[in-house]
Order: sequence, then C-alpha cells, then structure tokens
Amino acid sequence: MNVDLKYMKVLIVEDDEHVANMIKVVLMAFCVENVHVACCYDDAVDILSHEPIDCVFVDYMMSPVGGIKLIEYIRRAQDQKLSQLPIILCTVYTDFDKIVEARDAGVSEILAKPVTPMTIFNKTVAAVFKPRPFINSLTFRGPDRRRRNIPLKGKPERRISDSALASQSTPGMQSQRVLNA
Amino acid sequence: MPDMNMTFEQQQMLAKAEAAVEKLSAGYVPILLGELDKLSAELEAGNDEEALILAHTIQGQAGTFGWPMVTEAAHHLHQVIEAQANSPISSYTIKSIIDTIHMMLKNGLKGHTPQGKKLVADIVSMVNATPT
Repeated sequence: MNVDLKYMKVLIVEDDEHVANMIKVVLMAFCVENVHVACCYDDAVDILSHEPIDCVFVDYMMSPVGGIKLIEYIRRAQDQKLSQLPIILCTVYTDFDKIVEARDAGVSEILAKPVTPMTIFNKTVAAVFKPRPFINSLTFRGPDRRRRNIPLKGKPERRISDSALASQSTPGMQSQRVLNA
Repeated sequence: MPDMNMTFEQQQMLAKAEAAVEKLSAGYVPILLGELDKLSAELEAGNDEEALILAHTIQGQAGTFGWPMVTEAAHHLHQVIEAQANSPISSYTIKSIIDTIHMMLKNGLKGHTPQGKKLVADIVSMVNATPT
C-alpha cells in the first residue's frame, strides 16, 4: 500500500524514555517529521489540547494514570476530530481480558511489546490509512469492534449494510459508521 | 524481514529504521544493567510493587532492543514477584532469574539463540517447580 507518513503529526505517550525514543526514531526513519512525546496522562492531554495530532501511541501501563484512561478521555472528547483520533495501544500485556478492555475503551490497534520497526509501521498504516468504520453510539465510541464479518447468531444486525457503509469509509480519513438503533 | 506488500521506498525506510534501532541498541546493555540493579535494590528493600514495575519495564524494553530472551526471562521474573504476595517468598528463584539475565548479557545472547532459549527453558522449569 502506498502511504505517505511525512505530514503526519504523531504523539507518543510513554513513561519509558528508551521505548519512547525508539518509537520516535523509527517514525522519523519512516519520514514522520512531527513527533511529540509525553511521559504521562497530563502532558498528553496538554499536547492534545493545542496540537492537531493525527495519531497517538499510548502505553498501557503508566503511572499514575494508565493508558486506558487516556483512550477514554480521547473518545469522550467534544471535539469530533480528537474523539476519532487513531489510537495505538502499546502493551506487554496481551492476555484476553486486557485486549477486551482496550477494545471496549475504543482503541484502534494494539501494538504488542517488544515493538519492532515493522510492527510500528504496520499498526500505523492500519490505524491511520485503513481505519475500521467509526462507531458513535450512546454506549460506545471507537472503531468497529467487529473485525470479521461473521453472521450474528440470533441477534439483529444493528449496523447499516456493509455495502452502504463502504461508501462512507475513506482510507486515510476519519470515517463514521452510523447505528440503526 | 520486509513485508512483500511494501513498496520499494517503504522497504528502504524500514531498513533505515532497523539501522537506527540497531544503533540505539548498542547503548542498551548499561541501561539494562542499571534497571537490574535497581530491581535488586527494590526487592532487598521489600518494595515489591516497585520491583514489579521494573520487571515490567525490562520485559517491554529488552526485546525492543534486540534481547527477546531477556524479555522472556523478565516475564517469568514478573510472574514470580507478583506471586510473592500470596505465597512463600521465592527469593532464590528471583535471584536465579536475575543471574540468568546477567549471564545472557555477559555472553551476548542477543536474538533467539539456542543458548538463550535453553536458559529460558531452565527458568521455566525452575518457576514451575517453585511452590506458590
């Protein structure tokens, strides 16, 4: 896929300076010119309030406020661009419960640590250039949690048909999927 | 290993990124040694929570900088420290894992070497044999 990361503004929220620096160096090698680093929740919120960020990398385990809280802050934002920001969660923990927690908070992609240049590239492309339709409902805000199109057993389909939705989803841009409910 | 779906330009950028990480990795061993020293000190002081955070940090960092077997060892170290609160303290197991990590560093066991895998397998056996 031909993607250009050059003009992206990325925020890395990571309290481990070595990992933050590594991700920054990798993104810069991929020609991302504008990379901000925050070491905690408060710094991240401050940067997000005045910088038009296009993608954020968030560490799961930060002190005193963890990455999930930052995802919730972003998804609940009044500003529509901010609330639909592509979010990549970096984590050592890849057990089922943690993944479900992140998914339900509205994460776009999960980047398992240890990270590599290839995984950073792939997750960035997936989150920014191939976003899943964005769900904005009363109970959930975030990319569609269903990655596979499998039939629902005995449950009504609440989404507009995929063919209708395909036209609403534009790669590289925030897309929105509307619920029928 | 570049993804075959990547364009030639992207493969070039990936190679550039990997070279940059390799350069960063060259300075990582002293950092890791420092983290191990801090972890041992926290355990000695009875600060299990701090030690747990350091084990988690090493787990996330080491593989990123080319030491995946250290990440594996740190994963088991994290498990044993976490289990300590509700079980007989297994300080021998913890010390052995830290010593094993030191051995990996001393012998330059970067990547997935057979020696590194063997050391991790020994750790797993030891952890499994540790009463909880």
